[in-house]
Amino acid sequence: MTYEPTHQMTIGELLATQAAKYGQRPFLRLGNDRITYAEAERQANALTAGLRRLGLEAGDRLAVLLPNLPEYVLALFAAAKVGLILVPINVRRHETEVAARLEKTRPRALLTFSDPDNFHGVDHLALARRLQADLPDLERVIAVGSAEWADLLGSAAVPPAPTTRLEDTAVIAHTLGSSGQPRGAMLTHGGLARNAAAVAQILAATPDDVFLGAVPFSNAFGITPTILAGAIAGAELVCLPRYRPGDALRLIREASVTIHHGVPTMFSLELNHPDFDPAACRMRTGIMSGAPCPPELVRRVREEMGCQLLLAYGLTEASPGVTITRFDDGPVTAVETVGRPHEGIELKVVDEQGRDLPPGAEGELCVRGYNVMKGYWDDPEATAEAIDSDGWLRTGDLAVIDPDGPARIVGRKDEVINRGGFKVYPGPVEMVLRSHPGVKEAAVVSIPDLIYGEISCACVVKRPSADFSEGDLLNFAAEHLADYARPDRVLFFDALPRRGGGPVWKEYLRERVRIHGTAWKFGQNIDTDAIIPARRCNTADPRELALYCMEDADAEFVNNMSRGDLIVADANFGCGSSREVAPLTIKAAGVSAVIAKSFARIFFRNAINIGLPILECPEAVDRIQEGDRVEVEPAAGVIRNLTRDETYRAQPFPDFLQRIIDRGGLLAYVEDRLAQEA
Amino acid sequence: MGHTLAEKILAAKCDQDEVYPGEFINARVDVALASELSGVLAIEEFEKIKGARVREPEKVVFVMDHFTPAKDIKSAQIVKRCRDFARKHGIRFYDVGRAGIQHVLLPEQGIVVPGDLVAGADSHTCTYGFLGAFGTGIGSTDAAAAMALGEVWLKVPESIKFVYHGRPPKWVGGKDLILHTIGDIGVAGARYQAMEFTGEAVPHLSMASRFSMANMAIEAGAMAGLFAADEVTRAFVRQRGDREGLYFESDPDAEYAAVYEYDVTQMEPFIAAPFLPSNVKPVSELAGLEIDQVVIGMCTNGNLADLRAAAEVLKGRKIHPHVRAVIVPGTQKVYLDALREGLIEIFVDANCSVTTPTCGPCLGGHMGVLAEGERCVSTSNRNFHGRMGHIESEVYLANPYVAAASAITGVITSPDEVMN
Repeated sequence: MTYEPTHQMTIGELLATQAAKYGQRPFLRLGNDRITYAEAERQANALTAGLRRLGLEAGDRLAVLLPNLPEYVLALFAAAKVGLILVPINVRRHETEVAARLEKTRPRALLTFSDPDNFHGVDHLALARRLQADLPDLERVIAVGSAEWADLLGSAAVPPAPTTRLEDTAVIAHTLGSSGQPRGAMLTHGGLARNAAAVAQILAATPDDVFLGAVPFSNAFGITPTILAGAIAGAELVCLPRYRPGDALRLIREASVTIHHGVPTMFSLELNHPDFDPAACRMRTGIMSGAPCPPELVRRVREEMGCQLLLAYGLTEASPGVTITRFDDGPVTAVETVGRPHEGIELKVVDEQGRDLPPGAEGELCVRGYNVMKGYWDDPEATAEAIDSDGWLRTGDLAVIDPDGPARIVGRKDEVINRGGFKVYPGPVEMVLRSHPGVKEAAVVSIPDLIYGEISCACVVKRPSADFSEGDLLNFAAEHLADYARPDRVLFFDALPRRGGGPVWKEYLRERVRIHGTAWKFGQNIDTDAIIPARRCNTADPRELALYCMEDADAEFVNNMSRGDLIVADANFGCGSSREVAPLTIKAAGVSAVIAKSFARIFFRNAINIGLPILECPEAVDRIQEGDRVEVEPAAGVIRNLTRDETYRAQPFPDFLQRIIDRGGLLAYVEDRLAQEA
Repeated sequence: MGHTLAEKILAAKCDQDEVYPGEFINARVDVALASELSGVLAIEEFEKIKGARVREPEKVVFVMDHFTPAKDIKSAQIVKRCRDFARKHGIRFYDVGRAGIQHVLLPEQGIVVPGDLVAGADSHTCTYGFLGAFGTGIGSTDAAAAMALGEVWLKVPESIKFVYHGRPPKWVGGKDLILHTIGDIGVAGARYQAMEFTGEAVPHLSMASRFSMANMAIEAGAMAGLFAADEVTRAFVRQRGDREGLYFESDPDAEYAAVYEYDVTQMEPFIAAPFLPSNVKPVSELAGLEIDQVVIGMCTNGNLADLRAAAEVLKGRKIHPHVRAVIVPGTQKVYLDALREGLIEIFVDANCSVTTPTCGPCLGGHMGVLAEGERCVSTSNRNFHGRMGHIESEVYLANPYVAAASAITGVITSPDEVMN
């Protein structure tokens, strides 16, 4: 079966065509409610008329703050029929994140829902109405199921023939820039439809297939290979409004799901769920993507779910599909690579300077083709950074393209940890850690280090009944990893921070990790002047200097300095030197923060000036015991003792001090100030 | 609530009506200061800042005083780097022969006046409190930022009040008062605080005595050591420059973290024995301890009054044959005044070496470094392990009378014994 004609269709035309072809076949299912293709087309047309009646015109934005509901799918097609640009927003986003996306895209209407019981107590309708007050362009906020919604669908008007073109923007899908600000990728009708058709073709999807709508419909993984590919195949799509592994398994069983896409975590949760029953699983295929896919997990899914799982690589800016494995791939390609590019999509790998690299070389993956976004909404600067004049999209992912075709993703360009010249890729390290039987989740991030430049920190969530120590995990890692790739530190978390249910929020994690450690109670003052020791030992090595600089009390200090410590000083803490030697040494040793009853004058300044958080809090010093796990938020002046479940208050840092810390030191802060003035 | 002298100066520097202890502020700097040692590090940091220029070159002062005249190729290179930078950016630059030790030099040249905020990349920047200015030591990175922004961030310190009652007896000066105080409160006794020196003894203290006290505030861990500027200060300032300065004093209801009171009338000269400035004993307790070297001058006691004190004891006498004495005037002007008054002749006659103004011996840099096992009486401010040379050498901190008397006898000696 081929789906070529859909390359030439807008998303609005697509549904009309499929309704004509598959009229009475089921399209959307929620629980026991089913909507056929014909009914979906009728409702989408009614919604189209309703949206027109609201005064919305082609090019206007329609925001959708909806979970995986049939109404979302109807809105996607109706918007396309009017020529509106759909702005989907993940319902798990925080209010401020929703606000940022709305402020940027200025939609005239927003479709949402209200179901606080099932969505962590968040009433999205109330949230949207609150935000509406500050959004002058947002004329209408309508909840599905409300009287207004019924009114919107009440019109039976037949829409005029669409004037939308393939190159028009259909969806603004948000992604995050390197500093965490949202960017709206403008994805076209033609790009999305052709990409979806390519996926449907590779999956060999037919009207007999049942897709599981598990990945969020609000992102490109949910739109293209799930909703659109399903529609192109004439298949049924089972909606799962809120992902829970048990619910997913129930649907797989009861709705006879044959195609299930997901991120690796979803598959892992399902395989390890007590309700998982291989005999009840009729899955035929599906795509695992969105995060590094551990080969062990891929093999398990293929064996235990009895399906031909495919692996794919994509990104929002590429609509999203770029590469995918195929059913006839050999075992290595199928399990250890992300496959070859879709037809009509070119790949290349470039070095730091943007020069093309030969096959087999590692570099930044670049993509060119019909699927590449038009650009970022209202952000020509970011667009120019992302897409060069020849149309190549820089992905920020590091890849190797094997000489015989398939690509391997080795890591994120901005996540590679340069540990004293050795490159550590978090992905493979995370995979090894996750293969430990007691580990539920793991993420590896970098921590600045004065000796190595950067060191790695593994952030680990244990399985509920698991009992193992940091040392056990490091021993385990040592069996599977090169010495430089082994984590320098291990921190245990209850959960890893994620944004909107997406991948682990590493920027935030890095920030957390920087000021999180095991308390080391150190009682004595560190004093004396650095000039003399520096001269005496004739060295610039901070550790060696420390031995001289911090004489007396300080031999103890140096001998006890171990990575991951957070110093809790019983009394005064500091060094009289006007040089930064002492705090630099402490920071170099991996100390992430200092808490003390009080500080020597210059030490305090110098610590802040090199970006070492240092807080004065006698209560914390009294309460924290050696070995306690402690977390510090300097801006709030909050010190949390995770071991004792206590919180202490230090003097909060004013904005400018926090900025100095955040920027890693005074010089960067000065640069910011000068830039502002300029 | 009233405010202390320190709070008032800092409030004026950040254009606030008032500031409170513990508050973080960004304050305007009147003088940013560095020596060649800290200056070269500050330059390195400054040059890392994209788009930086020296915002107010007239407020930035580089004084070449630690390893000058260049003691080796390395120090020559360092000084050259500072010299080149100063020329390029048009900042004030004091080189060998035109300079002296920074803290003695700046007030002498009228560069620092009462009410100023001086941020210096040298821990003894607290010295400027002797004329009612808030001086505090900063790091080299701070100095780079101060050059670029003209500001420094500070945490407003609590103040501690020290009240000195009575009039100090003969041979007892500011150096003894501060040694006694540090001996009492310890090297961390005024940690991150401002020491405020008051009491009826103060009007009797010369500017040189006040200088020694403020200079050593850092040895008690203080951020600053301050005297309210008075008529004695005004006379001092008027002789030296055009800038008038701002005269602040603490409110009667100002709050202090602590108040210490001392009767100075019964004091005798004090000595801080190795290896902390707080290890303070009356000179009588240490009398008879053999010494190898005496150093008089440098910043803590390098003013003309200090050299006069030493000359008073050394006049017409010879130092002990086993002892070397090095006299270090604070500045070229102090040197010249001492020469004109005949003090230099007294020193040379007594077999003392007189050097160019330099910090050299104090930090064991040059011009009087100690060998293993040697013992030195010094009028400087620090006596840590190896401070003036070999790690196994010892430094005893004292006033110039005691240092001179000990040079004559070859053992630690009270000036009384020599003079009577």
